[in-house]
Amino acid sequence: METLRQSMSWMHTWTGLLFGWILYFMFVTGSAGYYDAELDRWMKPELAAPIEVGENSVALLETALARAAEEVPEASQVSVTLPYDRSFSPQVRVFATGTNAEGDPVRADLQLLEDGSDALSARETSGGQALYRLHWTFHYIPRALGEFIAGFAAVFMFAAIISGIITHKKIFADFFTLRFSKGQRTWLDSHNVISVMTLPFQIMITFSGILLVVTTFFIPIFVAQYGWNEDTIETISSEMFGVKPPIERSGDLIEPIDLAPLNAEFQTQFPNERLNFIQVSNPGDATSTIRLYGRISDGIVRMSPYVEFTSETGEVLNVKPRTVHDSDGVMNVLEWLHEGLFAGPVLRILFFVSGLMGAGMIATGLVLWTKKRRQKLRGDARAERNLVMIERLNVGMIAGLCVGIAAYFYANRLLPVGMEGRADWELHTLFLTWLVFILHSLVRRPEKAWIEQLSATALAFACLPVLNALTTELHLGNTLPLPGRDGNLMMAGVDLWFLVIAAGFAGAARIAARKQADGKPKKPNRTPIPVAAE
Amino acid sequence: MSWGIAFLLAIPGFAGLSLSMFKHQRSVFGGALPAARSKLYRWLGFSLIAASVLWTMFAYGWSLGLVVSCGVATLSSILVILGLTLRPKAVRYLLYLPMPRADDQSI
Repeated sequence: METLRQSMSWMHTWTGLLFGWILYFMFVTGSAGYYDAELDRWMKPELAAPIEVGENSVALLETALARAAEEVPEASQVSVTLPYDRSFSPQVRVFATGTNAEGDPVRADLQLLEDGSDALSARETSGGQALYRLHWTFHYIPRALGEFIAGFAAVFMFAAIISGIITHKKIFADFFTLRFSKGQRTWLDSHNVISVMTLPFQIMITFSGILLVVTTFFIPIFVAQYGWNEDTIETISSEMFGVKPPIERSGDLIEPIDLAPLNAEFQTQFPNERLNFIQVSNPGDATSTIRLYGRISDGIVRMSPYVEFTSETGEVLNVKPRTVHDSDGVMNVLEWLHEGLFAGPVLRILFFVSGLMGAGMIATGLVLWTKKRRQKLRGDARAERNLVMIERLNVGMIAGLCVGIAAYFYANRLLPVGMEGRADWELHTLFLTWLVFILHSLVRRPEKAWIEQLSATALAFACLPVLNALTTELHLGNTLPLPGRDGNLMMAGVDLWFLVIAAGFAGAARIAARKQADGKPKKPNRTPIPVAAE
Repeated sequence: MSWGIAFLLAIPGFAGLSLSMFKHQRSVFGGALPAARSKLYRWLGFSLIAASVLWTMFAYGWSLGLVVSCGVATLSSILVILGLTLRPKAVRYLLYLPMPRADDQSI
């Protein structure tokens, strides 16, 4: 009869291995996503400086609305967002949608300066957003399939976490235990320490990850109910989430309303809020309504309160404070925790580090798997061939991906600015580089491949700030905040992280090299030590 | 500032917990501590960690505070573990203990 712990150990081993590489990819790209806005900024070095918002907010909004009316006359929806925290554009951001005289849809997406002129156009790039989106879209496959794979992998991850906790015999006795230079024991200790220390984060991120794509598991039900065609998803979301059809324009034109009194009313309703975002439906038409939103709160709850007015008379239609309800609230809080948008600079570092440690947990688990199998081989040639294959692929999958991500940033700086499909080629560069390193790992001995690929990653990340200095003015020499100047902490932060990551990989490469160098001669005198000690 | 205080409470907290365990006492002090001292460290460790959590909840509100204290606990405990592995003798500093004089036989 198998004990619970044995069966859990079996489950942990196989669920972990089966989705290990996909989960590793999700953790690495997802962690990068905690710096999506910063990476976006880094990848658009030409973007104009952020504009200041203070007493001028009403004027900024009115200028932007006038500009939107020029771009899309008779729009059905216009929204204007003022720059606020890191997750928003550093300029005034305008989205306008409508239809032209022929009935075709028209869209405008503008980034404006104070006077309503366009912020300098940046190079075409996939940016930090695309890197972050990789962790559930996988880029080359249809969106629904990507979500399904991500959701499925997350379920296995959750199973691996729970079975891992049960399998771990001495969770408290070994809480602080990390023994170096003890071969397989070191791998197990590292795997345990990383997992236990970041356990709250890993449980949160996996469980909320499952919930974020949970509808993907209901696809068969949707298809049975609605059939499978182009607008299935749209029908479902309108029926499920009650998205109302837009009101048609009446054709009776009105003058644009003065925003200042509306803002005054907004301030009376919400004295502690600051106007940050407006949404106008059918601007310039008698049916038009306008919503004034406050800033998104600083806490975990990512919501803004709003006041809705008619655009003709400025009469208040609706006042909505910032509230979260019951089950909806549980879902929302988990989503917010997953995305970490509320995190300030220090908490953001902790989210990023915890995410990377999740990747480390999976990587050490994968290596540990091969180490354990190697012990049990006993001369089975076929099993050994398979094992060697996995040992080799581990190198390319784990270290190679990191080189690929560095290559993504190289492509951003080095591909010609006017190039056709430039944004796509940045992503192709990532995957092609990764492929090259996977192939490399297949033809090298794993011990050698580890050293080479870890060194390559370290070198690639270490050179990124240098490349940045060679190709732009926004390098560490100009961006580091020093006494007497503000610098640009967003740009400097990205460069500094590249250096920290490079140092981490250089350390890993050194450990791998030292292991290989003194692995053989040390073995004979290593065995007696634990015997003497324990 | 609030962050600094949270870490300054959590790091000695985890150091205290680790130093209440025999196997870490061996690597840090070179031998076992008296039972009363172990108990004191354990008690001190738990209290300091609790104080760190309460402090973050006071400084950031309970919801954000809980998230922050998870992160603080993760990073602090990793620091203690790396200390125990790489520089065990120095871990006593994390609990604000002085290095013993060469002739000190008490620990």
